[in-house]
Amino acid sequence: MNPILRVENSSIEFGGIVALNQVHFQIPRNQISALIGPNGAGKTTLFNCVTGFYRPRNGKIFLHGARQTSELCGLLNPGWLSRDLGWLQSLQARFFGGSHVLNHLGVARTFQNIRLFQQMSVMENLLVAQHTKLKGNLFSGLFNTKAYVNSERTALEIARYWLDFFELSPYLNKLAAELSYGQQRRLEIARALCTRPQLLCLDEPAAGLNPQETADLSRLLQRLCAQSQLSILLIEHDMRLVMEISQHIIVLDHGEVIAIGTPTQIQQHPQVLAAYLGTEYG
Amino acid sequence: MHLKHALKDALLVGVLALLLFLPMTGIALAENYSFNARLHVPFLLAGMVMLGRFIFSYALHTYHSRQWVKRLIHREDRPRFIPWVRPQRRWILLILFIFGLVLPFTLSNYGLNTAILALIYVLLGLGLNIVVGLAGLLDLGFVAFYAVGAYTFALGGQYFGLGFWGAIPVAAAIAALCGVLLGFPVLRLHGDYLAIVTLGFGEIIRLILTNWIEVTGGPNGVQVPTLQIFGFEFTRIAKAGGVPIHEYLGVAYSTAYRYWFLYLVLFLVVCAMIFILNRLRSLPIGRAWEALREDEIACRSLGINPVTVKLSAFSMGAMVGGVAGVFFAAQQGFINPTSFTFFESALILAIVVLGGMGSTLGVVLAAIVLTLLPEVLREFSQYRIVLFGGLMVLMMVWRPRGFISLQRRQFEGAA
Repeated sequence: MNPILRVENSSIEFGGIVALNQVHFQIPRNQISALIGPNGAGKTTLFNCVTGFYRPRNGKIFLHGARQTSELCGLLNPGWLSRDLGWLQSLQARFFGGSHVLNHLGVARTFQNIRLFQQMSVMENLLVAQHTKLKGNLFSGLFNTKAYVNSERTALEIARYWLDFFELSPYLNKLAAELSYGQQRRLEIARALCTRPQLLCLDEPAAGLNPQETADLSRLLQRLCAQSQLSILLIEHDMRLVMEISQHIIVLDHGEVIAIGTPTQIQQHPQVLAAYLGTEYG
Repeated sequence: MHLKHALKDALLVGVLALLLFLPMTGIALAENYSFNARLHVPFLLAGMVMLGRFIFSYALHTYHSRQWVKRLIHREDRPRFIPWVRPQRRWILLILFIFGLVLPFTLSNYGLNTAILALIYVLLGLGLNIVVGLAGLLDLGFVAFYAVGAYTFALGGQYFGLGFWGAIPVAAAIAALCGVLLGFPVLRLHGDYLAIVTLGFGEIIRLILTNWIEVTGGPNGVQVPTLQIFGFEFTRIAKAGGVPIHEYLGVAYSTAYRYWFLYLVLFLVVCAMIFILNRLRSLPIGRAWEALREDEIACRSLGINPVTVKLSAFSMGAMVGGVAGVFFAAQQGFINPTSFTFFESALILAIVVLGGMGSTLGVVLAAIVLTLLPEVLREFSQYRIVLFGGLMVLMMVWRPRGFISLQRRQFEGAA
């Protein structure tokens, strides 16, 4: 397997509760992988580790990007002077958290409870996502220099592409708060994609969607994975969706990986059945 | 049914009113320091309250009043635009600009002073609007930057011979630095906690200015250098070794020249600031400020560094406040710490909230209204604050998003 993400023996505790215990797995490149498990299994905690919102106590998380391999935990727990980050960034990561750095390496995410910029328009949401890609500073922007205009044009084009892809083009000037729930979910994915990631992490993308919207989402995600150089990791409770679109499944229970495999393997895995349905003997 | 309900309501309110009015109006002080019962007054008042309440609650059940209440309570979530200030209508802006340029020559000295004060508050409102309206960081100590600007000009002139023109960039830089200094410790704070720390910061600056007597002159204040342009002065007799401008031009001396000069420079600065702020709104940094206001965690997930975004908002806002301070010092000619109390911060915040968070035009209008209102209402100066409060309450009921809501940039659809 040619993995994009490798999680090695990562553990994290919250006040004595072991949320993740020696989690060890990797996910393949350019495929859809799913992370499933009962409530409280540690799926979202793992997500937060991968996307830089939590720092695992030990273990390593490697992102095998197109150009370089980066160790994500090291970026979150830098020493006073990390070679990868430079002194200013490492100082900042130490005091204020450096989770934004992970996005620069190519990890983008959505949230279980939608976190859009509600009082900004749809297009503005997508432009904010390209903040770090827009060239130029205050002055080049104020005086409309050529470099700035060009980079803004590119940003608008990319935003329009993803709006089109997620069928949101008619709403580009609407406030995000005015969209329906399903549209907001799609906009959040579009916004994450605007940061041009290599690994897209979706936290329950189908939660709260009706069957029609779920079917649309499944179609869009499959198309997305097929046509762009993108690996997707998703958490989902809708098993039909998971079995339909993912090629690779990781099952977590009580903070431990209990099974890894293809959908058919997972469906017959005794431990998975036990975790979901309970064992015969209690 | 409605009648019964209304009667019950009125009775309850009447009892409450009686309880309230009995001690307040029912006892009159007699000449020999004894008390006389004056019971007809509280009963009369309570009766009036009962009648009013009865009419009110009975009327509320009619169809029209229900519709009215519904309209009142319904919060407008959609931004409302004032149609006649669309950016396409450039000529309106041009007329306003020319009007602003001609205005000082038609005003008396008193009017000029008020106009300058209004423009200073416009500038302050615009500065705070960046911090509160756009970046959503509640700052209750904005007056600190105003004070820093004013004192930079005054003390810079006293110790380093800093002139008016030099003071503008220097004050902007020092105020921005103060903004960053304030910004660092509060990076991890939100909402109420942030408000309290900024409030403290405002007071710290004022207390330093009051108590560091050897440098700032303390409560005695400090003299501000005279205004100059190309070496010409606006005083009757040259003070700083230049030539008084009326002598050079061969016209009679008038105090108005100084105000004209100050007004025109300030007006141009305000126009430039409005242009820059409007532009910033559609630039990456302006969008990042707004995004930070909406959701900081989402910002992080998109690779935006919240630290730099917050600090830039603080320093930009502080910079504008510092420049406003220089003009304030120049207008007053003499400053002391009593001009920079918490009340000023509250006033500036009121301007931003009344004008509509984040809306440039709204802030400009609110600043002008809130400076002119006390001047117009000089006779009832005791009730000024009551009026302010009333205005705020009315605004929050009818237009919770301020006079004018933010106008968003419109994008063209996919080609």
